[in-house]
Amino acid sequence: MLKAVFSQYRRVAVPGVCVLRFSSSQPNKNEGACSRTEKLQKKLREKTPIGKLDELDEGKHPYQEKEPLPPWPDNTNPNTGEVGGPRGPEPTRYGDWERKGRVSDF
Amino acid sequence: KISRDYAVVDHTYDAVVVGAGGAGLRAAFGLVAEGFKTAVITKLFPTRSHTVAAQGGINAALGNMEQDNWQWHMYDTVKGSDWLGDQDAIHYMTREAPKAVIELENYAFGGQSLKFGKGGQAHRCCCVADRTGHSLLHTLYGQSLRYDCNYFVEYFALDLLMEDGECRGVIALCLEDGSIHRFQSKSTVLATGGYGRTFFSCTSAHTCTGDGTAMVSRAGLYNQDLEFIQFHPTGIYGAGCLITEGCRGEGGYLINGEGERFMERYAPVAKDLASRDVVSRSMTIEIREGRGCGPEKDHVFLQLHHLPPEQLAARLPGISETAMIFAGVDVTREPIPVLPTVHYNMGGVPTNYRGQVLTVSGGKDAVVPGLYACGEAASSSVHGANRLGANSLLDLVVFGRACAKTIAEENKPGESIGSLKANSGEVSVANLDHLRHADGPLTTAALRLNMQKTMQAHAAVFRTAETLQEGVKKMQGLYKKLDDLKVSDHSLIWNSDLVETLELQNLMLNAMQAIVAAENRKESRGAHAREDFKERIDEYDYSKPTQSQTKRPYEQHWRKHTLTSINSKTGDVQITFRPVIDITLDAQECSSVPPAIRSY
Repeated sequence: MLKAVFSQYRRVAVPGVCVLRFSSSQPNKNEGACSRTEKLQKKLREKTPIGKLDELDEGKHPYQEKEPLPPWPDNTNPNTGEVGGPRGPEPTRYGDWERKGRVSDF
Repeated sequence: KISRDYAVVDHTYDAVVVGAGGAGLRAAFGLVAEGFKTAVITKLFPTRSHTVAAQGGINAALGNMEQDNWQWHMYDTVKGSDWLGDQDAIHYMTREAPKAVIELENYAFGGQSLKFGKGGQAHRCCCVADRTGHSLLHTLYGQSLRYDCNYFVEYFALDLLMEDGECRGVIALCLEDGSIHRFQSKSTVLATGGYGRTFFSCTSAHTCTGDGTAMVSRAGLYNQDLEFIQFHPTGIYGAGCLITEGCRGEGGYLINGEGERFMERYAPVAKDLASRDVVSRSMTIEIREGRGCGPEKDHVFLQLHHLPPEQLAARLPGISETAMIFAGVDVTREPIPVLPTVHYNMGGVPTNYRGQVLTVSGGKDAVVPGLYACGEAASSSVHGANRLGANSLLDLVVFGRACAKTIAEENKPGESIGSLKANSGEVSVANLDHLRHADGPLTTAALRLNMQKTMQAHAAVFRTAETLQEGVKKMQGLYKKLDDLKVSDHSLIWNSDLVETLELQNLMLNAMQAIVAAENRKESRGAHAREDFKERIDEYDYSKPTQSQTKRPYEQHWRKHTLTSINSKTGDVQITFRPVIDITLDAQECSSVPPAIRSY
């Protein structure tokens, strides 16, 4: 009965995470389990496309802005002295709140 | 065989907030901070409410960029409302504005640095880069979670539970499993937003269906000033995204189906740079007279491709992206299809400056116990006949906070609530059941589109007696068609067909009241502009000195709020009126602004 449970634990072990130390009377089985996990990890690492799942650079994601507005140097608007304000030309210059030609308030 | 049994779960809370946009969340977290056991019922996840679309700023006379004074802000708002705004509510809002914005800033609204932009002539508009609404919602949601707020997300509020003229709770449908939930509470706050979706072209989300205003109508109470709807001339056809007037400022112009630059006929001097309402009305007249563009000839074109692309990119950076995403056109080669678009609803549930919902009894204002409203759903009325830019977000936070404060002043946590009948809410469940099994010839989507096109054609910017009366007749016909609906999905689990039909019932109630009120108001004031009655009709003619004039009696002038009530079975609208409040809260602090002719 105990064996069956233990082997269940082994099956759900995540590669890279060692199996929970289970208080059983079979210590050598634990060491065997760790080295087996290591072998599994190595095998997986050879196949994982590491680097390809990193954050996409700006401009590379298909849904990203096609014409991103350039950021202000030092996040400070040189015309108004505003820090952390909207990028691009002054949004209220036409009497409404405009960004990229889109108006959200007037 | 489909079961007609509905599982009903009863809950008891000190306060219930319906709607989790800017106003609802501010009210909710104000209430939990005072120790009230609060439930928030929302049909959308809080950060998906339409407040997230607000990119512009919040007006507050902080006086940090230059000398500014909240009394000037108060004057601007009163003038903007065309003297239909209640001056005590405006006094309250502009006085509390700096406190409210600084409070938000302290809740890490935008982070550690300053976030102030410029607005209008006064440097008064505070923003968070260009995601003010988004940031506001996330901040308020986060704050409300710090305290113990019970969220009921994706629960559609069906009706108010009224007993003896008091509001004792709300009944809602859980979208996930179709169970009915009755929330018994001492105080209910409505913050459900506007009803932009009654029109074909609007900037609002598909979820802006006027649920709160409809619930109030079904409870037999009044809605105020529903005919005042703010339009913008150039909204992209189909998408509803607005294009800045700067396009015309930089040399773009509007053309009709015949390729003619029609603004030259309507405003020979200003042409395309005429004021917003002139441009909107000219566009509508062209469309009505059959010179529109497109297969249905129902919009006009905004032409920019005659301008050099470098100039466009320099003066209007990003507009080619906007045109491509929303209109699917290459702005350097094709014109953008545009038409006047609904943006904001000034009207809603009438409240006083403390957020308590009002009704009229014995000719005077009376508070409805247990019911409060804030945000776009309410009409307090700070916006009057026309809203100033950036005042909407301010309205949300100030009146959300006001509702919470009033509830804290009037009630204590854990107070006993009046009793509710055992079968309270039966009518709502019966309606739900009836709709779920509806099997007529007409689909919800078809009737809704029909209603939207009718409202766009008859109750939009161009209002005359003929168009409005024709519109009222058509809307009455469409209202009767609500009995012919067909709902194809009979399940109770995520039944979007059923929910859209419930929303259509709400939209119809709002649309009927709006168009009947517009037809009834025979003057032009703020956003309600009529071709046949071009002037404002006040108690005096303010273009001349008032001493020599006789005051028009109340029945003969229009400087009063319209109160509409509707019979939800027949669609008949009754209209009554309520005077505008001209006295401020404290004449020493802020004097009342006497009416004058509004010119900019």
